[in-house]
Amino acid sequence: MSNTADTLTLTCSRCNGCGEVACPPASCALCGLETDKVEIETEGTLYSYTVVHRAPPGVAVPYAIGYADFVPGLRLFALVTPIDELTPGATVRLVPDCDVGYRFELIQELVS
Amino acid sequence: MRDVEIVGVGMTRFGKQEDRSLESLGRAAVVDALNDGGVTSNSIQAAFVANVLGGGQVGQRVLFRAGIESIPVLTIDVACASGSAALHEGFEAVASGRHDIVLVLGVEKMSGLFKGGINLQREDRESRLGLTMPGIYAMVARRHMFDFGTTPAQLAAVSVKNRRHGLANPRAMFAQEVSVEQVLESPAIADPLTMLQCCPNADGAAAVVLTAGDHGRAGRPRVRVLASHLVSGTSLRRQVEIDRGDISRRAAAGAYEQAGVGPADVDVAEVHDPFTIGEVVSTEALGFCDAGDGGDFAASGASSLDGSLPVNPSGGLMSKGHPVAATGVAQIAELTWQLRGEAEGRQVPEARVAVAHTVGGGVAELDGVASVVSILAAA
Repeated sequence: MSNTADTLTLTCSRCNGCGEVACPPASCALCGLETDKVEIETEGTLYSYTVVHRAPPGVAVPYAIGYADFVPGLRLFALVTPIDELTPGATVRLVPDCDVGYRFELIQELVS
Repeated sequence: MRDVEIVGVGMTRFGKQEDRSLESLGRAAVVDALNDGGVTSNSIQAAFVANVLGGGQVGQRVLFRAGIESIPVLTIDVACASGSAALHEGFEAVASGRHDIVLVLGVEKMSGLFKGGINLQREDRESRLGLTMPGIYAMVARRHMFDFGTTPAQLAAVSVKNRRHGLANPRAMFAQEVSVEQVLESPAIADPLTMLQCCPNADGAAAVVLTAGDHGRAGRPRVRVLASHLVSGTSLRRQVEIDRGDISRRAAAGAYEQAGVGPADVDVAEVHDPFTIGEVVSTEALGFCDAGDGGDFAASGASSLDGSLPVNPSGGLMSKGHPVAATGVAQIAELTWQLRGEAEGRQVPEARVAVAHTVGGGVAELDGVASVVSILAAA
């Protein structure tokens, strides 16, 4: 995991045999073969999300969580900000989050 | 493989029963099932007991209180599919010839365990980040709305239907109708799911006696188990479509093949509905409607008691409540009553073939823990 300014680069592994991508990098859990280290793209596509209004005691609501898909073929789960105007298909950026490593930040479309 | 029959079923009332112990609930369902089948406890050769939250050894803890000792007793946990998995194991044990008469029990005591929703595994990064059980289903719902245009009102229709069905089930936790407006205006839990789209936690137990051939009471309508297929989930990191019910689809395909029947042959079904979207996706996965049409399938009335394929005549988890490991066995009790013609007030006319489906979840990185589809038929 490397960290420049407000964008985060995650390093994953991709299996030489079956192409399985894993993060954090590891030997392939499916076929046991060697893997290459690859950096995933820092911008991905929000696959789905929800704004949570009822959480376990002590957790402040509302907050948004979601899955986002990144090239070369990995789905990650994280908090999403800001929680307004989210939609599946939106472009998000991986940004560092001191508590949990990373979160997804919505890239706002510029309205001209 | 030998023919397997259901000769006895039993079920406690589902709901908050803080004054009753896990052991008391379990014993009551077992005694009920043995009496229903005219079977004595000392004739049971093996028992498969589903429990998730009871702290271990629940099979032995419950069964010695019902006079069942010394035989093989196994406790099974695959989350919300636990009861169905116990049924699956019982079915396999009898069909394969390993045992001639077995007991299947699902029992859960949830009162006092949780504040709010069920906690997920706390060690998982995802649950520390705030992933909740409703949150998992909410993301499925959000994607289903995006892919297929499913509306909040269609989701709400599932809750309206199942609450209406539950009015006729004396063992259900709730007996109150709700409207689409009430469902949508109830408090937000995890957008787009509202409180009345989430089933309540409950206490309860259900039991089934399975035999090879006919050991049941003379003159009673006979019910066979044609198939039971169990699969586990797969990792979400491979970018699978979470709104297609892949895990349930695989369980259903295996069960239909084993039974030699298809979705068009099904007269009645009990389908896992912990959240409205769960029934929507699973009715698609079971082949009752096309992919993406699950919202309309409920909203059109097709899955109502008087529709073309009634789903959850028991009222489902929305009405009964969801004592996690008891749920799958309670489905089998309901469908046995349906196939015998004993489902008073909620009987599906001339039901001959029935499908039971559950899917367990809660491990953040998997599309499900396990799914089981079982197929029953009037013999």
